[in-house]
Amino acid sequence: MVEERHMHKRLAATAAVDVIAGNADLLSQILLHLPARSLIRFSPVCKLWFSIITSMQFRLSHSRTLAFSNTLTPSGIYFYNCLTNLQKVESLPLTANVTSLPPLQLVDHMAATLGDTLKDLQVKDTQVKITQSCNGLLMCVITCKTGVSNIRRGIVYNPANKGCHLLPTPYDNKYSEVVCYNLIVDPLEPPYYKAVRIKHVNTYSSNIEVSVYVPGSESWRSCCRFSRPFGMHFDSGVFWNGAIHWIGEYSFISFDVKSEEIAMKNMPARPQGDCTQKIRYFGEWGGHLHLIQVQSLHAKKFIVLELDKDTWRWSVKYRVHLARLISAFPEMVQQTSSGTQYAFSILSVIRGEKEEDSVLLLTIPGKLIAYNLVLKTVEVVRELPGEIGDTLRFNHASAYHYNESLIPVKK
Amino acid sequence: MAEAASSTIEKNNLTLKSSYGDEFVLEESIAIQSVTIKNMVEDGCSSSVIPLSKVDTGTLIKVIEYMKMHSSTSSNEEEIQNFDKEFVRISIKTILNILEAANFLDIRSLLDLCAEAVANRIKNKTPEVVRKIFNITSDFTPEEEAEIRNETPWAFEGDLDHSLD
Repeated sequence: MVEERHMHKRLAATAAVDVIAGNADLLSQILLHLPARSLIRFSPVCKLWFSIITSMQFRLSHSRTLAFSNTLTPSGIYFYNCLTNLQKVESLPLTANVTSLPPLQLVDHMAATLGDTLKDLQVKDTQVKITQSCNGLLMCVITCKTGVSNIRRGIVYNPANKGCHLLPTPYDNKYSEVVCYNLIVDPLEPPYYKAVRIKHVNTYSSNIEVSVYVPGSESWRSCCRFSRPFGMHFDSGVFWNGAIHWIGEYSFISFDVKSEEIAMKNMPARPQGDCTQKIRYFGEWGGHLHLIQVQSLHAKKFIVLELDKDTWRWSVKYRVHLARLISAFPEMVQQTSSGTQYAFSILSVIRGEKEEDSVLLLTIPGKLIAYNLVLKTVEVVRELPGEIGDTLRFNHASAYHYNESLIPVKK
Repeated sequence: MAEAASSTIEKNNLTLKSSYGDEFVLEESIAIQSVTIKNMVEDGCSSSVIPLSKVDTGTLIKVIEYMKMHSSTSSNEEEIQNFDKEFVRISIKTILNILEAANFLDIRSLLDLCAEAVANRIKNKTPEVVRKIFNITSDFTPEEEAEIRNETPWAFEGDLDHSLD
């Protein structure tokens, strides 16, 4: 009797694991809770696991699960160090256990391919740049410079599974300049993502047109037109609170995903000062939309503003004074023809789980540093080799936070 | 009259029998969190003992512990959350046993809890360790496996967890 019970126990014990390991439904229940990075790592476990993880149905369910658990810290950021070289994309892991982000070579490959197909147009230079990151997908823009025009094509790219989708050409009959491409990813319902494009109505017009592309369709669909306000920076679209937002020196423009309409608002008051380009950061983190404007190129202090979802009012979230940073890193001080300036480029305002973990991620000459917004401490994150240009260039959108996703980009 | 009273008592209590033959008496209102048991009760199979030939004693004790806590009206949301957290602080093998039982007994919330707990425990592990935990022999050739790995080397980098539990 004792022996029999023992036997029974052993059989039962092995059975549970074997039942689960052989049951695709039960396995999927477990796998759905894993980050995409782990799933990719587990795809060589065996053929059953591989087939589950790579199936379209699982990838979509997983993306939906991921969308609901929005507390997830990004794996890292892709960024450009605009103090040195605007072309080269770098990556920085932000989570423990992550040492590198998926490489972006394929995008370069696509750029080269596209460059070849445009040979007749005598393309002089081809550039590819990330312009947005949204729920695991990147919007990349390829710019092919010909003698007379800039041909800009959008690519939706999933770095985790190298899924790549070249969006339809924006040039139907005649050429007019494409202003920007953006992306809205909503894994909760088909078509899972939409691409948004803004283009001049014609070469000599200040009127611009917003069009939407949905995967599976053949072409872009026009949504609305409006007159381009002065000083707009359409290169920095941010998806937040159900809409894409672009900023300018004076205007703030939103494109609502559901209604497909444009809303225009004023920017918060510009700090007094002598430079024309005052915006030094515009970005989202964990549902918070942040904006940083400076007084001038030799400003040592600035405030971080946050937009309230309900009231649409900007309020001061943090006050930053760089004096301590500058004395710790004297290489930030640059003598230029217009006097003393401070070389720093803001990559990201990162909100910690605890308030005292919130940091400002900056590049300064030779380094990437994290400045704690609450404790006012600073930490060198890594060395960043590269010569600083003669004139300081700043960009208010140069970092794109990223989380691996299995979401498919093509139908 | 006496008959009616006794049938009410019987209706309120169920006896669950593990694969080892151990019997547990449980209030019906608690037990019917299991859709499988609920269906049995509705089909009138509950008059005698409910045999759970796929659930061993240790697992059944845990499942009953879970069902009791989750049907208790006196515990608030925070208490339940803390209970769930503590509940899965056990070996992966044991969680997998409970997961399978939850699947068989059709207790959705317990299944989700266990699935998430297993995922949390394995997320930083290597494929080799995962195979051992799930008792899997790879059916890929070494060449096929190398090919899959070479597609995404970044996913295999970092400080991975080699422990079996």
